[in-house]
Amino acid sequence: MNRQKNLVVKYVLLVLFSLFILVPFVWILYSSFRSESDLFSGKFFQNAGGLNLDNYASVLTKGQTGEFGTYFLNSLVIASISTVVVVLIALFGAYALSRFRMRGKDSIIVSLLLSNMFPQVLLVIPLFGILFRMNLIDSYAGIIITHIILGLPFGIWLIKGYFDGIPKEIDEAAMIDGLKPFGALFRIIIPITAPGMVVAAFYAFMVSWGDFLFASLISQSLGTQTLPIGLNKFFGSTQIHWGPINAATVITIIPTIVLYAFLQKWVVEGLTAGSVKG
Amino acid sequence: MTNEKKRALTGYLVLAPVLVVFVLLMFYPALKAFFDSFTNYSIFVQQPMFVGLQNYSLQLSNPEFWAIFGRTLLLVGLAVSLQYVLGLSLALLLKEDLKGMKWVKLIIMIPWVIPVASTVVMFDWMMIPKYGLVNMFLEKVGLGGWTRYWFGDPQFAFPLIVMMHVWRNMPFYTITLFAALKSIPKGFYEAAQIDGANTWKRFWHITLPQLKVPSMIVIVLHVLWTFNNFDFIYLSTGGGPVGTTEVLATQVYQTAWTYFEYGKASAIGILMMGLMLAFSLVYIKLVRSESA
Repeated sequence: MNRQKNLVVKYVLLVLFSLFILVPFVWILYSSFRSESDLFSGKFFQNAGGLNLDNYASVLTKGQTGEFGTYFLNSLVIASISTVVVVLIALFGAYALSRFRMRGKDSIIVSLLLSNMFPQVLLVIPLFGILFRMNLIDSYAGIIITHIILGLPFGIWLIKGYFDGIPKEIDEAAMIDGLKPFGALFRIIIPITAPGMVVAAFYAFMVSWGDFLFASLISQSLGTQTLPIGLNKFFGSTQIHWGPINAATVITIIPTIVLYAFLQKWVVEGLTAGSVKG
Repeated sequence: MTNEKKRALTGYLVLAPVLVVFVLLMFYPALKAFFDSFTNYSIFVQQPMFVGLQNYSLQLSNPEFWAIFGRTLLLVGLAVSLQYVLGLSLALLLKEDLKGMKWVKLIIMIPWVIPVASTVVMFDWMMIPKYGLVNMFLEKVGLGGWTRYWFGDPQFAFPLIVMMHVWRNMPFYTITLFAALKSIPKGFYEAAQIDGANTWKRFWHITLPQLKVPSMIVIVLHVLWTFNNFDFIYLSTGGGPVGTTEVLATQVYQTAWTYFEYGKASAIGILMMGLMLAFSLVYIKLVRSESA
């Protein structure tokens, strides 16, 4: 009896947790297919059979919400390039920190962790000045440079963890077989650490895709504005068109969710590895 | 050059891109902000001048600053403790072999991977007056008197900010603590059971101590994240209504980009960084003594 009661409690809790996580998604997804007159009918299922793609159509073709396609493209270009740059730099950095004996290595590793402390709202003030002097305000490059800061520390830390897990004997053996240190990196270590790189890439993409602060200050025109800025623009306008905004929000979250769905197992493993090892 | 030296040199070369990024994009800006915080640097002065501790004393003698400071700590304290308790509960639940668990594990991280800006729209859409999910629901169950624009209510805006933080980051605690739970040797529990320890005792004496290190790591990461987070509040309430959700990060932003007082803004930011530095040092010390 007691056991059964326990089980019921556990299921109830599980359902509550799932609802807490899911309701915001389900509600906006459902709303994004409803016409504005249904949204403001005050009824949950008003005309529930009349779900349609009008909100999506009005977002994707230039309509009342404007240049959504451009925001999407800007986000895609910026996040993709940031990801490639972060993974490349992190790969070399992690290799150096894992495989070479150097003075000051420990302090570099500590500063990786400490970099989390720097408030981004503070860093962006001097960074804005630096990018201004480099003539990079309102450019992809300017935004990408700031997004490297977001993804790099965690990327290095993560990939280094994977490197550390490979016994040094393996690359030493490779070197005896005549491979140069970089030969060992590319032919042996990278294939083994591929999962770590995938997770670092996913993280770099996710933080770049989600950044609002840096992008909102550095981009000054439609040509460089990203999705979070676009969302905030629709959302902050005096007359909010909720139908298209809901559709725009769904489109904004889908890429990271799809990526995550594909990489789920690796991502969870990669994220938890560091903290479980300690 | 000896072989050893040659190898170390190669090491630095391989590391060079990282060093360039860190020095140029993080340490130099941090240092610059530190110097700026002692000047009257703003859009309105041609030549910024050294003003000593003026920017700091301006803040520290201002009751408004302390109110915002206290609210920031309250936000961090509430969000992180709720995230921990809920995240750990869900992790413990996931360890049970319940039906549908696979699905929960699949969806659990989704709040964490989406942009904060979209999370804000999702929550605001649920909270709008009259036609938001929450208000429609209240109307349905006969609590129509309670309906309101929840983000615009001075009493509820702050709890909602806490809730968005919990919603986004709780999953991270869950997957981390779940992985840690799985790595606790089963033998520990079996031995305790033989000794007659009940469920609570096993939790207090085995589970919690075994989770110490991963717990400390997730907590510190999220104290830093929540303390420094700017977009949840800026995008949802902008610090309002009537300043009830203003935190240090939004203060820095406003001072720098609404009033263009970079020196003053830097001073607040440096105070934030100092506090987090102290916090991290205490943490590192705790971990060191733990592993020693």
